[in-house]
Amino acid sequence: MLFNSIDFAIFFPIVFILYWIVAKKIKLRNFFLLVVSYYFYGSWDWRFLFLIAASSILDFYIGKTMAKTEVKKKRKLLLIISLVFNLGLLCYFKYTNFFIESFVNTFRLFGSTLEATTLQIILPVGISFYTFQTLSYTIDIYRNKLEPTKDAIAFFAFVSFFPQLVAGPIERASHLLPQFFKTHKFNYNQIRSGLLLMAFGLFKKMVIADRAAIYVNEVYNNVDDHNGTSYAIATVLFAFQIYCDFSGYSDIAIGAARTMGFDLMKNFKSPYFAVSLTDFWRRWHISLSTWFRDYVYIPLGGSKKGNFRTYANLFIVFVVSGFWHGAAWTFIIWGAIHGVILMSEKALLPVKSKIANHSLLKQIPKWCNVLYIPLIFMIVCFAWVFFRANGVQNAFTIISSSITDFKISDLKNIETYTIGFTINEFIVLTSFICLLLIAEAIHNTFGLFSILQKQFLPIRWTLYLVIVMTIIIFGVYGDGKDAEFIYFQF
Amino acid sequence: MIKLAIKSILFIILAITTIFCLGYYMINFNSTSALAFKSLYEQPKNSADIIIIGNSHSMRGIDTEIIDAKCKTSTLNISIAETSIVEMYNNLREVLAYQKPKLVIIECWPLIGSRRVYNLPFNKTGEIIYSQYNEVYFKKFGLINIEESIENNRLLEENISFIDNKDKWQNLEKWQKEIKNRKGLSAKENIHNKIKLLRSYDSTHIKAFDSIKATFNSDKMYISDAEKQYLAKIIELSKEYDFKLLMLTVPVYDEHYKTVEEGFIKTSKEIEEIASKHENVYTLDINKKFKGLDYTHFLKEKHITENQHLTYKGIIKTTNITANFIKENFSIQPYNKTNYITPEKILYHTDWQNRISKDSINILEFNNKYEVFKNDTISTIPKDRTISIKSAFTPTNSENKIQLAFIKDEDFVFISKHIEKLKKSNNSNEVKFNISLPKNQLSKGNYSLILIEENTSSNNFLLHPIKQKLILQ
Repeated sequence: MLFNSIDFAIFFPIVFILYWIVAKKIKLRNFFLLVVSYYFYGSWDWRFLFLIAASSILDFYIGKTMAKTEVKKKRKLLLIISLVFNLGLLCYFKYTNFFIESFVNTFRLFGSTLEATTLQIILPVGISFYTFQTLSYTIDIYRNKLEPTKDAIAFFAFVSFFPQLVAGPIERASHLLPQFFKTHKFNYNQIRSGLLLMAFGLFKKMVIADRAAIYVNEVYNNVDDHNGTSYAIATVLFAFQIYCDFSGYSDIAIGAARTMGFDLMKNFKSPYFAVSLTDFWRRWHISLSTWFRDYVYIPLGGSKKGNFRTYANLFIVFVVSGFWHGAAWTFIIWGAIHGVILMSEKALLPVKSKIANHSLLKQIPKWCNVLYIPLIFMIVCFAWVFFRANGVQNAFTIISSSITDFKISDLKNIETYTIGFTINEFIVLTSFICLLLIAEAIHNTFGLFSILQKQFLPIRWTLYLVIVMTIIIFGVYGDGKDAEFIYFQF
Repeated sequence: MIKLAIKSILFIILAITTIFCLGYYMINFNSTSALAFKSLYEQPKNSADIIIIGNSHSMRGIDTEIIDAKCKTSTLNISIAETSIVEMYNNLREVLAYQKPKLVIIECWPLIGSRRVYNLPFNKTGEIIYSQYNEVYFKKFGLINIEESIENNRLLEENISFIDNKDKWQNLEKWQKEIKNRKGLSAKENIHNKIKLLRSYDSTHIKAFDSIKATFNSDKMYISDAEKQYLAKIIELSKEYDFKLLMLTVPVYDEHYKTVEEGFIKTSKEIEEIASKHENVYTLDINKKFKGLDYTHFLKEKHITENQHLTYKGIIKTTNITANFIKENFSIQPYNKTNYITPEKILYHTDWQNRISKDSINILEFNNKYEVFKNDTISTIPKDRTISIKSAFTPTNSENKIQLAFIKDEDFVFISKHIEKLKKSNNSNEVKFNISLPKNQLSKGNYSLILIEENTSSNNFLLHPIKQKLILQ
């Protein structure tokens, strides 16, 4: 059930009403959330329910058993069981075919005539998200940072909580789980802001991401048919497509949870306003980057074991992060690019601060940092090419053509903008992207929602109506066009 | 919670109202189907005397202006392309929510035609198989509309034109043109203009038709149980709402008729049998009378199929027969609530000659010959394929629109579409005009020619006689 589907438009209001009817009785409410979350997840494929149930049961009992014992070895063994089971599931469903193909390709390099026989495995939607969420539970108990819950229903509901089940934010048990034991009071302002956030998320997804996808897919799926200028435009559009697609999902998830009194963590913070790549990763997919920080980077030693280990740890984390996104070399390269640039940033930090402390440069106001924004955006776009391309070869073709075949004269040619859609669509798309950036800039400075709440009702309602109408008129939907969110595949 | 519920309901109402208000600007009024329903809503309530319900055969087969002119009634044509009798029943229900007709003409092609959708108008799950040209949202939002949408599981997709046509902004030029087009002419006038088509079958079309007619089959022409059931429902409505029913068969191409004559006779008999059981149900089978019409009466269309649609000539003929039948068989006391004048209302009236202005016009050029204007007649020769007339006159107002009428007798008045005026010179108010039409769109005989000058703002017509009579050989 997609957030941008009629099914969800029917499902959510029903769930919302029933939820508030049962909200006062915590156990009943959690049971209700579990049932609707399983229904939500099962609507993709009922067989997926066995996986999530198995993962939840195992981690619930491992958590409980771990808390009962103080024997370190036993605790470690239990953690390993949890890690092996969860990561094993992930590896089997997500990476089996990748490993088979890579293995066979490696042998072919040495002249072998092995044929790759891949398995028919369906990737369960959102498996990367909920396995990380349950892992955080057992790891935190192992580290004695969290008390295990005795309420199985609440734990199951926490793992399968439908707003963030299939594409995050990846919640920590320490943040989300206690909310399942609190009474949620009906708060009009909270619900209003949740609904507004959902509308904003739908706007990002349906108006920007899905329309940008038309151009991007046409160019990236037909690499030989386009010129360097089109590749460059498609890459910039992809940057906004993936941002609006994923942050749109997060907004809907956070908004939907908020209408039921739950607080989910912020997942994006205007990433394309980042002034360094480090800054970018503080703003992009925050729940994943902090997960990797807490459960991979720091256990590896973080930045406390010398420069070499710090750089190596950074690189490892980003390669793993790339691999988490998808079982393909393009994702690994994407992660490696980010890792290498972050290493460079870290290495250049002392030099940078020396320069910045120079008496002349000290006088330059801080806002001049914004000059870094386009540079960081270009670096991010460069890496996105690998993320989106259908293969490493295609990625290199696109990058080399974007550099050698980029012509200013092509920018004057209307055909450059009408790949897959009309010029009006291109104008509308770019206008909405500009509008989004302006809105985010205002939001970061003044807080858009608080400005809105201070307005008179007619102004507020007019704006709500404009958002709804914009989605209806300019959104991409209908005739099977309800597009999946990109992050569902991860 | 109550505050949220009230505000949510109010917001939803506001959003839906906006959607429906804006929806009007999204409907494609280029289609005759949309215009048909628009004409229904433009008509003052309970003012239509005659309603025509049918599909493309009656849309491109009957000119309501001719019926109104001859019967002094107000007629609406609610015919939607490719509709089955089930859709016709639904369309009639919609009509009856707005009008109390005295006569409803039901076009019989959906009963006679052998298309699967006509004989089996429901799919496996029992939903109506809708014509691709029939959109529920062409109908005004209301109980009947909602009921029909729910019955057919199309409430969301089909009720909101705003959503269905949301992509119009992608072609702004086309959209602007459409919005511009809907200003000015009423839907009824728009339909009237749209059906005046003059390109008839040519030799290649005739050959192509000959090659496909072997696929026609009399056995496939039957009135199915579903059709009978919905026809009975229509008859029930006629009794409930107290109107008379006329089962009209619009003519087909004579070669078509000959090929499956047996099927036509069989279905015609069935329809007559059904009609004979009810006092208020009449039949008029124009096919039976003429055994179809010749190729000059049928439109040259892209696809050559069992479906043939009439040219303006065919429409004039068919409508006059229908109008005469109505005059003879029904004494309709018209509501007289719509008093606008049309060229048809003037020219099908016997006293039209009293309305002509004293200034008669000379033809300057006829079929590329200049000397003809000296004579009192202009005449075609057998090898002529077109009729081309050039002339000039001084309009009373430069904004006035002009049309040329070819009057043969009281059953055949050909009124052209609006003709473009060409300014003669800067110093003179005189304007030139040219008109050209295929000769086969007029029947053989003698014609009086009248230039009609229309003041659109005052709905007033001035008739300028043309000195020369036309003899069509």
